[in-house]
Amino acid sequence: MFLFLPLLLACGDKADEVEDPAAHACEELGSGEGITASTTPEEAPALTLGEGATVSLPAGEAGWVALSVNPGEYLLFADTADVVTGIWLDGVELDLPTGSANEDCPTEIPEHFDLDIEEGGTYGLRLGPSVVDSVWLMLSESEGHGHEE
Amino acid sequence: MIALLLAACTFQPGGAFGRLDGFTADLRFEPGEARDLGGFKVLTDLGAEVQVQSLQLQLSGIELQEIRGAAGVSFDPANPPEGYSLCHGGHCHYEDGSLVSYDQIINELSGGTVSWEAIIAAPFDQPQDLLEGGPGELGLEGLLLPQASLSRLEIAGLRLLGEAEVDGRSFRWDLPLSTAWSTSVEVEIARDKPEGLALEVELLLPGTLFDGIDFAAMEGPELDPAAAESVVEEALATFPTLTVTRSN
Repeated sequence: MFLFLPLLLACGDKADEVEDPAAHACEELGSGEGITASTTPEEAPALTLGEGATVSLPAGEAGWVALSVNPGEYLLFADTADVVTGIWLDGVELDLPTGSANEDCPTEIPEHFDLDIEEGGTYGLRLGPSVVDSVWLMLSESEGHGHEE
Repeated sequence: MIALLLAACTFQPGGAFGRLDGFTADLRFEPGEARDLGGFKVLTDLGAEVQVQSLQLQLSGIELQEIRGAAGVSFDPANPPEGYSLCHGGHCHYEDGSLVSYDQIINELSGGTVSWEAIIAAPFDQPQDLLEGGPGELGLEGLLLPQASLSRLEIAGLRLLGEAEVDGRSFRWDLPLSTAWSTSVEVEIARDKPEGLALEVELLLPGTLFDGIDFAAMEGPELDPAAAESVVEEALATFPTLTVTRSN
């Protein structure tokens, strides 16, 4: 049986119980503290899981923030596309998944990344270099996200 | 120069279920806020400033297609096949970090036995200038449409050509495109729907097109194979979009 189109309308019970973090990110857009990205990964300030932050970026070079996470699936939202340019762990660059818009508010949050973290630790998130001087970011657990409604 | 379009469609009048009120396309280079230095100069992730002087796309056409031979293929975005996860918006995340459209997954699940038949087709015979954008109206207004479930938008690119200047050095490229841009869509053409459809296709090549390229290390002026592969990969990672407006 070909299930493609009919099941676009189907959704599990899970989504009814947990607010989709993508929708939550739209509500939280612009919220949270202001922090300044470091110019080295070693000095990167950490994003707080579940909270937004407006990150000031260094001019003319890449900036860094840190993600301290346990193994699991996470979502990283950004209010400007193409600012997040890499993710590192212990000095090794990892593959950054392809970003895509948050479908709940694609104009306001034009990019989000689905991060499948297999190894817990402190990851360095590379930002820029970019023309913009700040970016709003929010890291969330991905529970409730990703199923078609 | 705006591409010259030849109107074509596989459907002949007689038993129409819909009417094409408009079919437009906007294919262009869109650097985006984070990388746009103005005047088609972009900042790369390695800090290079790339002044794009020309960027053209040769393509064979834009099509809206209906799937064939999908009986027996089971694909549920809420329960994707092994290796895929977090399906939404017409695509799933593959384990290597890439985004893969539903139609590609369906094709894979079928073992390559499914096919797509063009219901609406706009062929191109001239390159599209991506710095200018367009071409706008594709010349199919008034086309009568059969009953159909359109499930794929495909933009069949042939080559990506261009020139740029970086730190006073000129670079150029003429890159064959191995695959088409495609995205899953859901457009029903049936008698119980309003008759007229206006379709707007958009494909925006991003300001990350030259990310990862070490221009200083290249002997030039041709992009080296690694850089060429990177440009093609960045270009093809973009998903086209379709906006549908219905009217009576």
